[in-house]
Amino acid sequence: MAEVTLTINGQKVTVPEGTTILKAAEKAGFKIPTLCYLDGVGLPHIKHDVGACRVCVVEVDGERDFVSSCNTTVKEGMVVRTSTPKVIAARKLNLEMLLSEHHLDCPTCPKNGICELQSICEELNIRQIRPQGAKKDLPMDDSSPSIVRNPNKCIICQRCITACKVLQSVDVLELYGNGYEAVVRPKGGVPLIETQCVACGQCALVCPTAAIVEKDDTWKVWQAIADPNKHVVVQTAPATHVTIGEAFGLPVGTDITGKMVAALKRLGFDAVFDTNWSADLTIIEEGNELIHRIKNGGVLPQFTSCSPGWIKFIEEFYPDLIPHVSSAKSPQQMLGPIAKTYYAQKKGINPENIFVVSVMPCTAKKYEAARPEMNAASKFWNNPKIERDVDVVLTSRELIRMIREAGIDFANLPDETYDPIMGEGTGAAQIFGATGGVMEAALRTAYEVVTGKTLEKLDFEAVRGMKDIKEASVNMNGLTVKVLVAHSLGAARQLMDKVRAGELKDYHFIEVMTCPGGCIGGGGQPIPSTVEKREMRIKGIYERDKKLSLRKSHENPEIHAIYKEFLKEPLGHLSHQLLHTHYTPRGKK
Amino acid sequence: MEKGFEPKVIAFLCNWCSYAGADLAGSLRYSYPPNLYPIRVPCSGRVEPEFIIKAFLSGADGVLVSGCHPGDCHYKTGNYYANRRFNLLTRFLEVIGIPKERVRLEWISGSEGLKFSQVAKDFVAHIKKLGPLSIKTPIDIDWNIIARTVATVGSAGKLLWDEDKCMAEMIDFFLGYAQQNSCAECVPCRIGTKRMQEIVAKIFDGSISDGELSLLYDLAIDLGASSKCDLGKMAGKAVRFALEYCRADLDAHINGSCAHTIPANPGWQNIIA
Repeated sequence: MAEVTLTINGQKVTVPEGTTILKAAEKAGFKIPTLCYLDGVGLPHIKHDVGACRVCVVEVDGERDFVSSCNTTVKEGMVVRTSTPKVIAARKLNLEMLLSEHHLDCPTCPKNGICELQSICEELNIRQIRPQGAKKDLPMDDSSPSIVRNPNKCIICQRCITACKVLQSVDVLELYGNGYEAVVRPKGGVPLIETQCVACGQCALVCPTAAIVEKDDTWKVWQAIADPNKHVVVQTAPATHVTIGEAFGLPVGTDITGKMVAALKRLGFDAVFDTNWSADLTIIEEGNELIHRIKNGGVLPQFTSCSPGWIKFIEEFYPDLIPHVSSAKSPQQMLGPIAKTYYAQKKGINPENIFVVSVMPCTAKKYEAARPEMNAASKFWNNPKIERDVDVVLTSRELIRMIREAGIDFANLPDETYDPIMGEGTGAAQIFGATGGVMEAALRTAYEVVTGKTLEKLDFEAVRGMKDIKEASVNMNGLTVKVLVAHSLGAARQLMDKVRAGELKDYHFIEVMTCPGGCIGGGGQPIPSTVEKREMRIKGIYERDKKLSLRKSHENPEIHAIYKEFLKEPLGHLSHQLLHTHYTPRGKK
Repeated sequence: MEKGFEPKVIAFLCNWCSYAGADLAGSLRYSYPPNLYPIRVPCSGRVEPEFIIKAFLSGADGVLVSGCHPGDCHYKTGNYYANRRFNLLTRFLEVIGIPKERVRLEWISGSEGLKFSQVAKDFVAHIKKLGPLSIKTPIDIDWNIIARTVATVGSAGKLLWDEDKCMAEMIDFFLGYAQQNSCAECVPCRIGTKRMQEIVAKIFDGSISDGELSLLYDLAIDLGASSKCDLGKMAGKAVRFALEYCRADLDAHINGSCAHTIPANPGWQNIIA
C-alpha cells in the first residue's frame, strides 16, 4: 500500500494511504480528543465517524476552515496542527454548546462516572458554560422492559443508529427533525416497544451519555431479599464470570466466579446457582434435538435459541424460518422453572415463595423473562400465583451497582462456591459466553454421544474469535456435520438470506449470537465494551474452560442427577413441558 | 471570435448625472457605439440586481451601470447602495455562470460627455472581445428561487433585499434559516445557531450585555470554522461579518433605533474583499 508522509505539530510521520488524521496523529504521539467517534462499533470493521461533535477538529494548512480529524484522510505533505489556541477554543466552545442544552443532573444520572460527556469535559478542562438557553423537555420512553430512552440526555452523536442499523441491521432508530428540535427516536416516533427493536442493548453500550440505558430493576431485588417469606435464588450467566471484575479494578477478562458467588451470598440471596448448569442442560436438550432432526429428516440447519435478541430478530424479520430454531429454551429460562419445580420439591419450599433472579450480560433477557409463554412452572403446578419462571433479570451493570450499594469490597472477597443441585457447570457451559461457544459445547457432546468415542481435541479453534461468520465441519461416524457460527445480527442476516435462498441446505447447525463477540459483549455488560475488551473477555472465558476439570456437558454430575431424579430423559414429557418453548411470527405490523 | 459580432450592451443610466452625460455627449458630437442601449433610471440605486440578471437572460452581452460620483447623489446615498449591490452582484454572477467582466459600474456626471463616450466605446470594445454571452434562458424565472439561492451564497444574502433592511434583521434571518434547515448532525450548527438566535433576540430588545455580544462573536467564529458543512459555516460567517463590518447597524438596534435611518454601510465592500 502506498504511504503518505505528513507533518503533525512539527513531527513528520509516515502512514499508509487512507489513514485518518486522527490515527496518523496517534502514531505521531498526539491524542486528538474525540466524543462521537467510535472505532469499532462491536465489530472491528464497523466505524462510527459521522463527525457530529466537532470535538476532534484540527487546523490544516491551506484549508480555510477546521477539518474533523476522525473522518478526514491524510494527504501527502499535509501540515496539521492539533492544539493551537484557535482549535482548543473551538473544541471548548463546541462542548460548551452541548452542555448548554444538557440537563446536567449528573449526581442522579445512571451514567454518573462512566459518562463520556463528563470525561471529555474533564479532558478538555471545561470550567464554564458560556452559552445559555432553552433546554429540551421531552418525555422519557420506558415502554420496553429492557431499555429506557431519555431523549433529553441525547447529544445526537448517532452511535446508537450505527449500532442498530449497521451492526445489527435492525434499524429501528432515526434522526428526526431539523436544527434544535432534532431528536433520535424510534422510527415514526412510536414508543420503543412498538418497533421491531430486539432489545439487544448494543445502543445502550455505545451511548456516551444516559440517553439509552438498561431498565434498572435493582430495587425489586432489594425488596425481595428483604422479604422473609421469599426464598430468593439467583443464577449467574456464563459471560458474567469474566466481566463483573472490570468494574472493581480487576484486569479485563479476570475469572471472578468465586468472588461473584461470595458477593451474591453477602447480598443476601438464599441460594446461588449457576446458569452454566442450565447451559449444560441446554446442550443435552438442544444436542439431542439436533441428533433427532438429523436422524429423522427434520428441518435443517437447526438454529440455536439461547440468544433472546436473536429470537426476536427471527420472529420479526424471518418468521418463515422459525421451524429451523431449536425449541430448547435458553439456559436462563431453563433454570427458572427447574428452580420452581425440581428444586422446590427437593427442598420442600412452596414454589409460590421462590423468587428467581438472574444476572445476565443482556438487556434482551429482561424481555425474554417477560414473554407471556415463559410461565412453565405456573402451568406445571397449575397455580396462577406462581407468575414468571424468572422474576427479575439484572444486567451485569445492575449487579455491579448492587455490590457497590452494599459496600462490598469485591476485589478482596474470598472465593466461594455455588450451591448444590444447580451449581455445577462444565467448561462447555462456560464457553456459552463467547461467540462459537454454544456450537463448540454442542460438538463436544454430540461427537461423543453419536460416535461413542472420547473426543481427543476438545478445542474447536475454527469457531472461536471475532470473525463475524465462522465455519467448521466434524466427522461423526462417517457423517460430516457442517456448522456455521455468526455473531451480530448483521452477520446473522447474511446467513438467513442464504438459508432463505436455499443455499445452506447441506449445513446442520447454525449458532447465532445477537451481540458481537457473544454474550461477553452483551448489551448489559460493563461500559465501555470496546472490541479489545471483548477479545480479552473471550480469552478469559477460554482460560476458565481450560481450568475446569469437567469440560463436556454430558459429564456434569448434577445434570445426570436431574435426569435420573426428575426429567427422566432428554426431549421427554417433562422436558417438553419445562425446557422447550415455541415462537411467535411477528413481522412488520 | 465570430466575425462581425455586434454585442448588445444595456446601460442603466441615472437620470441626474449619467443620462445627462450621455445627452451632453450627443450635443457635443462625441460619438459612441450604437450597440449601447441606454435605459434611464431615476438613480443608480434603483438598479436592482434583478434588472441586470434579466438583461443578461434577455440577450444582453454586457451591462453598464452608471451613476453620479460618490457624494454627488441627488438622493444622498443612492449611489452608495448601487456600489454595495454591484459588489455583491458580481459575486453572485460568478455563481450563476456569468463572468463578472461583463458588468461595469462607472461614475459619470452630467458634465462628463467625453468620459461617457470613452467609457461606452471602451466597454463595447471589451464586450466585443469577450464574444457573445451564451446563457440558456429559463422561460419562467422564479425570482423567489433565485433569491433563496443567493441567500445561501454567504454574505451576498443582502443582495436582493431592500436597502432599508438592517443587518440585525439579516443575521436573525440567516440564523433562522440555518436552524430550520440544519440536518442536526453537527453540534455547532444544531445548537450554535439556536444559541446565537437567542442572543440576537436580545439585540432587538436591547437587553444584550457586552459579555453576550462577545460570546456571539466567539460563537460566530466557531461556527464559521468548525461546522460540518457550509450551512453552519455560512451562518457563522454572516454573523461574524455583521459584527466586524456592520456594527453600526447592530448598535443602532441595541440603542433602540432601527437601521432604516442608517446610511448605506460601506462595510459591505470589505466583506466582498
